Amino acid sequence: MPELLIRNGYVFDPLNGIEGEGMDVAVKDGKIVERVGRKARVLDASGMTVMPGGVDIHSHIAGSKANCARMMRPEDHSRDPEVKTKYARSGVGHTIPSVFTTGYRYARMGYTTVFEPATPPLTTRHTHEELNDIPIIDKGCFPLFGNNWFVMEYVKQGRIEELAAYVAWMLEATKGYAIKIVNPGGIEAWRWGRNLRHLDDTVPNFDVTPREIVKALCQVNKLLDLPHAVHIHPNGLSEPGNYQTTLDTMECARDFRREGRPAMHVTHVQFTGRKGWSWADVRSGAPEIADYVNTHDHVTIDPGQLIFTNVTWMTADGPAMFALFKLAKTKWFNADVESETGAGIVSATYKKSNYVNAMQWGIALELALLVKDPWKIYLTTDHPNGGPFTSYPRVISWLVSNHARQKLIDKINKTAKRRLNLPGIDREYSLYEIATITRAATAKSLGLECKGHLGLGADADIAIYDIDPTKLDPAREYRIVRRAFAHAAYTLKEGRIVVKKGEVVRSVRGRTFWTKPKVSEDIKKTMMADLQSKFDDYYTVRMANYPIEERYLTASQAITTNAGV
Amino acid sequence: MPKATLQDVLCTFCASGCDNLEITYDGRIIDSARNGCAISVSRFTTSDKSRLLKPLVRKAGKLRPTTFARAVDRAARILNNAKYPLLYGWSQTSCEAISKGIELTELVGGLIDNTTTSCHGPTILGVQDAGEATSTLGEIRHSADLVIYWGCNPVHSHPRHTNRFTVFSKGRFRKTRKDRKLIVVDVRQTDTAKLADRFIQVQPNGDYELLTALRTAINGEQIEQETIAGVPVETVEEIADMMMECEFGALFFGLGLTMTAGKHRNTEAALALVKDLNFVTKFVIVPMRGWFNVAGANEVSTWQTGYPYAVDLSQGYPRFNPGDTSAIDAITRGEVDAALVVASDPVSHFPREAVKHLLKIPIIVLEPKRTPTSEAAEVVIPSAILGVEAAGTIYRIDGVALEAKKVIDPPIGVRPDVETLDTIIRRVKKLGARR
Amino acid sequence: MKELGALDGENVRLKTEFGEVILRASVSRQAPHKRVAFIPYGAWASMLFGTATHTSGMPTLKGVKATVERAGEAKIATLHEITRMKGE
Repeated sequence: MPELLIRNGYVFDPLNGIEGEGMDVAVKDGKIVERVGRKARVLDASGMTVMPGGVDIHSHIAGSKANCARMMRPEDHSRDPEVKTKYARSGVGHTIPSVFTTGYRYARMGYTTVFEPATPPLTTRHTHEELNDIPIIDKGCFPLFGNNWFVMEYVKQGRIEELAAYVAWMLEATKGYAIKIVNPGGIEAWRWGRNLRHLDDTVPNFDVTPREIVKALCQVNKLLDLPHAVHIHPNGLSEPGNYQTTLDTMECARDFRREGRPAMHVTHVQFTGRKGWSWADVRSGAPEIADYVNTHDHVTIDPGQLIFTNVTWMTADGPAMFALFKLAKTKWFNADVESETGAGIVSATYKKSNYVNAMQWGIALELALLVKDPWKIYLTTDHPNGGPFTSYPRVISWLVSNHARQKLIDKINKTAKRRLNLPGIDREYSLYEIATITRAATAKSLGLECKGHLGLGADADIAIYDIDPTKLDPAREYRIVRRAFAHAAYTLKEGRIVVKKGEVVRSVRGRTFWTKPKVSEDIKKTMMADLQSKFDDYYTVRMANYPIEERYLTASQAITTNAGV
Repeated sequence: MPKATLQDVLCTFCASGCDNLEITYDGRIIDSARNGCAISVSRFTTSDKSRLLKPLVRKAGKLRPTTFARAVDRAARILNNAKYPLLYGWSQTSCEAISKGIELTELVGGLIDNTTTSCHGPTILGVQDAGEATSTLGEIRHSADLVIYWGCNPVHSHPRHTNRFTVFSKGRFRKTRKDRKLIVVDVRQTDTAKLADRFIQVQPNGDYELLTALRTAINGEQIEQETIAGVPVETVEEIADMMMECEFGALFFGLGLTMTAGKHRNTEAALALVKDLNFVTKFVIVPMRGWFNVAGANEVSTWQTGYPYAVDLSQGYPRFNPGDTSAIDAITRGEVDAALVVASDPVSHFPREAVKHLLKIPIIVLEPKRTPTSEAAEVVIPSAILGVEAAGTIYRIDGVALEAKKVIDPPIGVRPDVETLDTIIRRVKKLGARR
Repeated sequence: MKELGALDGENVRLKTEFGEVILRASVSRQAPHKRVAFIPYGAWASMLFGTATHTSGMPTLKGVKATVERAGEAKIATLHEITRMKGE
């Protein structure tokens, strides 16, 4: 690959402590290097902001539930088509874009790595088929473990080592990246039309509790030394008063912190950070949750920012979706997955005038503004649940500008305005902090050493935005900030220019990251014997056909770890 | 050559996804196929019969053998020169091939549709209105104490369905036949109906009424008629009670709903019925997809274009409007001026008037065996049979993706569809695609 | 079949508003189903279907009104002949 020199840009590289310094960035063979020769191509980034490519830690972009949502919602697509160009395939948006469009729209915002945060292991072959087709971005997926029969049985028996061996086998079999837990035990209860609300409720027929499941998987995460923390969507999604469950869930992970690395990441906390006893009475649990995050090192969060627009709710949390469907009275889709998990999809619209929606919007922003350390909170909209990922620039504008926030606060439901803490918060994020929560911190959380920074040896995934940080006041000129982040001046993927002035000029293939923990042969043998003896009873596919071979991924990138079992 | 045996082979006929077959073969001859149904035996052991072995092009009214390159060239020219080519079929080939099909359609600015359009299209339209409460098949095996087959005959269409997933299967929570009840609704007493605890004979075209009557009962309202579509109101109320009192019900439905008057309104009624039942108990609904990869055609089409079938790409972006962009309508209106047919036989199955139009336009056929469609073609390129001679991904009834294996080599010169389509794409690009 | 006076194995002519076809009658093993006839899906059955999809994309392939009469000496068309007829 030719050499490239990005000249004169203002670089924001939080992982290397570079805060808007005017400097050059040198690229060779897809990596950041110290210097390049005189024949190198030059990209003039004068007066512009240079950041590592965006890294999205949680976005539902691929797999069976995403596709069921697409199939169910043609009305979502028909108003947002993408015409084929010389460089780009055609497609559709809006909340659930088709795969080509997904890759292009991320790249246009300067994002270069995205993770699908919830895939049922049995249908993960489908997830990879879609991930393979998403152009430009690097990607990965998190298989679901919190309602898995083998997991619950091992937890009941207290066999943590075998559980670790099973999780290791599953990550390799599904080519998955991290342990994901959604409504632990609750989706198994949904088999019988029920749900679990609290950490000490009992899973029907399995005699374990969510608390036991969560703790065991946190322990496994530590034993396997996985690159990311346990990624969790707690019990009680959307229920008023669920903030306490979230805090209790965070407590479960206390003993499993690793050296400098959190044990647990709680996702889309806006949905699980509510105080109050009823819908009319929903209050913000953000101060309590932010306080916990501020005073503990073992947990990180992302808010799942809400946007006032039409959205698609999609999650593995089947029972929660049914509950919301009963309120929303729109379309509802549900798909339980044998012996493992489930999925629910509902279409919805968030309105400023709606009290609960306005509270949700406010809670998400409060979380982002009250958590002091930007290394502990990441920018997400839990796409497409809170809003489409194309809304990220809008969220950025709210974070950098109190004025932008207040303008919208004046338009929301009046009672919500009174009850939220948000109107009184005037903190404004700096561009450096934005760089942290959209790329540096997320890459660090994921354990991706080659991403999220522009140090030597990093992948040359680079975003150049048309913002001159020496001249621009983001708080006042938030519209410029928003536009700049929506249409990157340049996006580079492994040193190749893929986007120029917000348009795709080249399509490349990204890699799929997955983890491969190495456990001892003895424990693996014991676990495999358990698996073989029960597999045909539990599943309607043969065990030999369950694992996904590496050749299935268009471009595979395995991360090996040495497990402590 | 010594005999070899391959285990855990997936059968590629119906969409049940039976993947425990044991195939014994000797070079390119398959000796036996064990553990599957009778259809699977035939699928594997007669895979060599009636084969198309050479590429063919029509010259002076007759189909004559030619080279692969010439056949591809002729196909590429037909597609390039057409104003509105239709690329149709797709249900008996791999997802990888379907992906190429979509790429090709976008390149030539055509219409891509799959056999869903005359099969479970109405089901998808119903889901787009009413949503769907479903599950993978294993959930039903584990939990269902009430199973309903409506307008379908799995004993014939999916022979192992009852053994693997429903009344004769063994699940974690339902271990014997006695643990489950079976209701069959049909216009006649099929072999499946003969297994039922209750058989409900509904009048032809009466399903919508009957489904609505059940919804009425389930929602606690009074049914005013004495008989509904030939079924006495007492029976309707009994069935409604059975549905409400079960712990986990599963409703399977087939072409009895999609092909009769009402079509997507029938399926919508069934989907809505199951949705209503979820307020009372746990219930799922599963459409009985026929061909082994029709679900895959929907999946690939949806993730790549946003829409599951009947996708028009002639304007440079995907458009979906069944009735307008669906194959039979587009053909009958005389708009389609060329067709590429993969793994399907529309000359046999489309209504007569549509076939009349189809026979007037140049057809390119990718197909393993001789069919009336291949006989009517301008260009024929023989296909390797997926799951026997070629590997690839398929999706079974409930959307679980599985990999079909390659057991034996295809006949010499016969290629998997994914390769043929890729070659056509490259040729179209070289000739300079219209779009 | 009793009403028609047709014998098991005799040829009959089926007609709908869209077309007609000669087929062999055989006693149903799924009786009773008064006034309902069944034909396997395929090249002969499709002679009887119309193309109207009522904006659904789906033609009506079941529950189609038809008449049946004894066909005497009329023969069942071969696959080749049926295809030719469709082209006319």
